[in-house]
Amino acid sequence: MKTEELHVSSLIVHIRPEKRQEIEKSINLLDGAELITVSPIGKAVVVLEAPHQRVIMEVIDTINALDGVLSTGLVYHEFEKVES
Amino acid sequence: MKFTRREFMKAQAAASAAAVAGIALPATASNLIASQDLTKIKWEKAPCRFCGTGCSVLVGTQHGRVVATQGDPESPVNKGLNCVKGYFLSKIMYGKDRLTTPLLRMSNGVYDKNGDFEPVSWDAAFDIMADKFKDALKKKGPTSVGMFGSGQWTLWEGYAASKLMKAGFRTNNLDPNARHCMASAVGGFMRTFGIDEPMGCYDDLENADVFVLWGSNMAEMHPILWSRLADRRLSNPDVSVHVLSTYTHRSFELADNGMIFTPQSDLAILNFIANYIIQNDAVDKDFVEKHINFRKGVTDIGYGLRPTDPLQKAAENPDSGASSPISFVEFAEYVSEFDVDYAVKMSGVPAEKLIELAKVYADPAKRVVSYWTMGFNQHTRGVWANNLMYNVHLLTGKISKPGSGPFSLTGQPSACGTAREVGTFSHRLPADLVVANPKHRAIAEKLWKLPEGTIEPKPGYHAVLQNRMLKDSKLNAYWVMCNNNVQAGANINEEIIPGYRNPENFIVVSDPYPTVTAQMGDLILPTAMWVEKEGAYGNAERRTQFWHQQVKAPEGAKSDLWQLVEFSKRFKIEEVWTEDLIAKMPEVRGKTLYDVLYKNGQVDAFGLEEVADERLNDEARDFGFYIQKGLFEEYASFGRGHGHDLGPFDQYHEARGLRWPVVDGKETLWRFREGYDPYVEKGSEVQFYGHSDKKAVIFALPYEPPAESPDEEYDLWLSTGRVLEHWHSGSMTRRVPELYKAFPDAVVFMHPDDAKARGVRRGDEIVLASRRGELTSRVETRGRNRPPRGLVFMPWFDAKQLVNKITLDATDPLSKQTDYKKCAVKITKKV
Repeated sequence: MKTEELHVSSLIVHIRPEKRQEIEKSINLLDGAELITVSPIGKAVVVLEAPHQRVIMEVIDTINALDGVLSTGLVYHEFEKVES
Repeated sequence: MKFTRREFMKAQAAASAAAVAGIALPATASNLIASQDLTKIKWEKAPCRFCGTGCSVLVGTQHGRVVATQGDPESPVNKGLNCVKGYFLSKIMYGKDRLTTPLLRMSNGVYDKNGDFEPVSWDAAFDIMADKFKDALKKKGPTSVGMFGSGQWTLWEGYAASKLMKAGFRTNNLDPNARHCMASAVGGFMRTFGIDEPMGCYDDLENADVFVLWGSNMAEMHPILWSRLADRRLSNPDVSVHVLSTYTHRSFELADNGMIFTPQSDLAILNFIANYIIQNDAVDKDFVEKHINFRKGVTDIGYGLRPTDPLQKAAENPDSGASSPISFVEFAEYVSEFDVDYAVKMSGVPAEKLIELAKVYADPAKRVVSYWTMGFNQHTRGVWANNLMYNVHLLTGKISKPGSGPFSLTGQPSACGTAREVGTFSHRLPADLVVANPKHRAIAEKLWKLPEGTIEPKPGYHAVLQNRMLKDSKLNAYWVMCNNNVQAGANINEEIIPGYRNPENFIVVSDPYPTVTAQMGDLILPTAMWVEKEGAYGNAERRTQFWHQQVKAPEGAKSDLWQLVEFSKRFKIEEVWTEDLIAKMPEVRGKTLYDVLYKNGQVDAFGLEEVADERLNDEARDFGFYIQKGLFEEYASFGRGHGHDLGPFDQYHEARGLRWPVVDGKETLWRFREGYDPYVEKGSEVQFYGHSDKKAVIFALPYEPPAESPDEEYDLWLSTGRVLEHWHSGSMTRRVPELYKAFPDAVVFMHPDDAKARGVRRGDEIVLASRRGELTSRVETRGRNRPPRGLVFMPWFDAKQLVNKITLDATDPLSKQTDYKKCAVKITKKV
């Protein structure tokens, strides 16, 4: 049996509300990323899951670079050893 | 692990984010939440180790190691949020190359400046170090020893260092790396208000109608404050954001009015705004009448270069901050020539954008906050830029009230607390006192229980001058602590390395890691960091925050506080003080500096019974008393009752920080305004009590050119700075694998047309050269920073590409802060 890690993080992403649809689509296309909800003023809650913390960092970088993304803040992080 | 567990973790993550964001989750997401299986992680608060924002984080420890951090939901600063650097904080202490033993350059078992580093004991390290300091003191006196400290020191570390240098060794050659960071802000505050540090606070972020960023990339450098600003902007369509910079960066994404200006022309734009306010009858006449004096400053003040430099020789009033009184009418006349055409010509910003900016300052209905960072401060006219910014806020009375005010953001976690408030500068003492003032020296000598005349009246060598004096063999025994100045200082090849490697000098470097600076030294002392010790920081909004020691440092590493105090035991008072001075207080004879400075009945006033048994506190247990509390209480006695009041020690271990002045247990949000600031007299509305007549000063100051501008040969401006992923010189963040990988190597950001004109493309290797040296890097024409034609930007975190080899060590002549934003360079393709 191999031990792997599962990392789960959540972010608050400020976005330009008028770009909501494109951003939502782009984020949901990223591996392990899910946009849970966006408030009317453009505050989005995004949850990430990944086998390594580094992947989370890469996804955050990608989100930061999306057109219309204003800022990204990290809220929560938890990881567990997974036996597969 | 089952599928449901994964779903549970995700729901928990989503719920936490939603709670912090203050928004409701769709029912499908929120109904999964159940009580979490509590792990055995112990959580405790600490301020973040990085920037001056002062976020509080919860530090999770398990089996004696920090394993996790999270944003502290109870913190009024970050409200549960973290930026990426804060997110990876738990890893900064566990770099593979962490130092755990002192290292001395040796050959054949003895110290040799040209030898290789070999491990020695702490005893042996302090032996050679004490020898070298004593030798220098004996041969050349107190001006031959010195120290370069830090805005990352805890309050008590800075305070202990100040006592050791200024009272113990009787040298004022103590300066912090904060000199590179906000000395111009200090100079501006002292000149305009007579008292240091911002009047406003972060609560302005939720109250302002307009935000103006002057030379600050808040989106990357202060991301948590930026998220609060973004929140305010997005939830209020009438709120506007104006961003001024010499190149386009991430903060422009939120800008309603983005402006790219020619370097140094901020001075012209600020004067134009003052003129616009007067021309459009937008002066708050009642406020100006009651609270303002006008003065005209002298001009042509030089560039803080060596006195032999031609530019310095050509200056009419080198280093002069002199000024003379003028009237409002004379001031109005003075700024009248700075019209919009002049500002457009100087800055290259279109007139309509400049007018839109001037209008928001002039509109009495709009609350405006101005933020700035290194764009103003790292400027050969940095103090002037700060003064001119205050002019705008003072003319309109938009100051010291919720949502309105000028605010200088800081880069280090305790630049305000330790560098400024404790006064670890070469001219300062605690609570804004200065060494040049005999009354101030007398106050310090009395509080420190020392004989009159202990403190030298002449200011010591500031940061840049320390390097020059090392090179010139005037400064010979030198201790560098908690900074990386060989990477951070300007003009490394000509003005820094020669001094470190000068055979007449002995250089000690205290650091957790083998930085560029440590490797240039002669003795390296391994250092405990952050939550490996008890600490206190002061952030940019005057908030003092404490933390407890939460883990043990690696065996062999010792905190800066322990190093400073332990080293003081090596000196008998007769070895450092003159007979004349000892004769004034004969009871000190035969004692050590440790006895006189730290076992003085005050610093050792609190016993170990005040440290709970289950608490880690290595320094208190080593010295046998609660040394952090004793140092804090003695230090606090400088400011209490004088507008710098700090609360009682124990209160800070409970609170998420308190903003000084703390009077009767209550913090102060907006200084100088009645109703908020207890120091303002009833019925007076506003009092700028830093000056004896309780008025602030508006200064008439012109535009003057930078020290070096592009010419035919060196045809580009070079601006240096930071990136989101790395903090300053990268000595911590480059050791976090995730952050390192996110931005591994520095690149030179440039305009695609500038690249094309030089025959280079994105990713190409290039040589970046100035009159002082050259380096190899790669071109980046896309991405987060987009310079206009004629300017390139390069971050300085990368130890493999030291951009400061080519920067110029020109400083503001008043603040002595280096201008890292402007020098002339050329770029050629590497062949």
